[in-house]
Amino acid sequence: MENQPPAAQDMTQPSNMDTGSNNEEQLQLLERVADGDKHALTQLYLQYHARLFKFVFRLTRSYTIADELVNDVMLVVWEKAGSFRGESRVSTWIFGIAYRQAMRRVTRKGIDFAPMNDASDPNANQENVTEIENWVEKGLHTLPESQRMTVILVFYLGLTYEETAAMTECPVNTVKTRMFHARRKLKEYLAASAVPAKMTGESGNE
Amino acid sequence: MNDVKQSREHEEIDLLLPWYVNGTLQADERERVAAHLESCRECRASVALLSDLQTAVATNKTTPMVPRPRIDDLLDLVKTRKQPSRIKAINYLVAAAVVLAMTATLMVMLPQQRAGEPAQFETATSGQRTGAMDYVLDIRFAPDATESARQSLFQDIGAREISNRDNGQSFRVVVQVPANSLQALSRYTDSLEARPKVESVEVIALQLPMKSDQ
Repeated sequence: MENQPPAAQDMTQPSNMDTGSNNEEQLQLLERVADGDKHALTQLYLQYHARLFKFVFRLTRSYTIADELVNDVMLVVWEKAGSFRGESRVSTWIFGIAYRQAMRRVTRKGIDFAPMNDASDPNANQENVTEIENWVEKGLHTLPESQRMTVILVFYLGLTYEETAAMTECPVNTVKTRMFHARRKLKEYLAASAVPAKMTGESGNE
Repeated sequence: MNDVKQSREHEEIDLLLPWYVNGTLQADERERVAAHLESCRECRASVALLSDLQTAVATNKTTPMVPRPRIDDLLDLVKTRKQPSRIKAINYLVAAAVVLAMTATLMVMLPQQRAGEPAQFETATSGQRTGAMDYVLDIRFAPDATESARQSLFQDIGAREISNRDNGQSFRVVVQVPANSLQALSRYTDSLEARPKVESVEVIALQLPMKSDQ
């Protein structure tokens, strides 16, 4: 096999929406938001609405909370835009707000993360869900919350380990260790669930 | 490379694999991982597993339909929240720096002052005895503010050196502010912003005291 990272995800995914020029544009929008420009806030909102909803839904598995939190997050963006110092990508900053808001909501409400097929997700598009996605989704819910969040931040948002550490407010080594344990547990879960060999790394490479 | 070194290298590389897969490693780390993968079957299998995991997590189709954006609700909320002014925050810092510098000046001068004699300079901190200092403020009025409303406010606050800055909507003034702390200054500007027809008040600078002619 070739020792190259997998091809970039498609453009619907957050991690690839933040090219250098995109970040520049968003920085300019954020500057305008900081100056009280509601038109710029509207533009930023429309750029982020779907991605924030999907991300928060990924974290909370709650349609209602995800719908509510998008506006809560953008309200914080409005209030804090002036304090953004450009130490990260704009998207990382905004998703960081979303992460903290979601975690706060989860902690406050004591949400029990439901696995997929939950009846509270009436609009879930189950028809095209592949078997592997189904297994992965269920496997993720067997993980402790900190490990599950780390997997989502790394593979859904495409964060670096430094960004993941900053967002979860823990040392880089902790992030790496969480990811290591998450992988091990997922592998065990997938093996026990008789997932195709490729997914469990037992494909007999060489 | 001996076994211990190889084992340590393998462990370190293994921890980096998720970020190799999501493509965010630095170039030197990426090259190091790629070199290790050439000779490590176990890590190559891990990369295959992680790649599938990434695809499943990133393209998950169990996410429900995205609801309609509720931008109007957000804009309604925004109306009720006051956005902190960056300019104001920066100017508070400038004002704080000036106050500190002048306090330091006073500290240096005090030992040179003989007992019973007046100070050679009128300093900003000497104004603190009365709890008041002069500040340069920019006051922005609502477009429908009348001239009499503006003059009434200027009179109330004892504004002087008034200059128009923006077609009659924004004015730069010098005001003696009854405040000897940044918190008090902030409270003062907030109270001005609460006045009718005032849109915003920004602190531009602390008015430096002039040398006394006495």
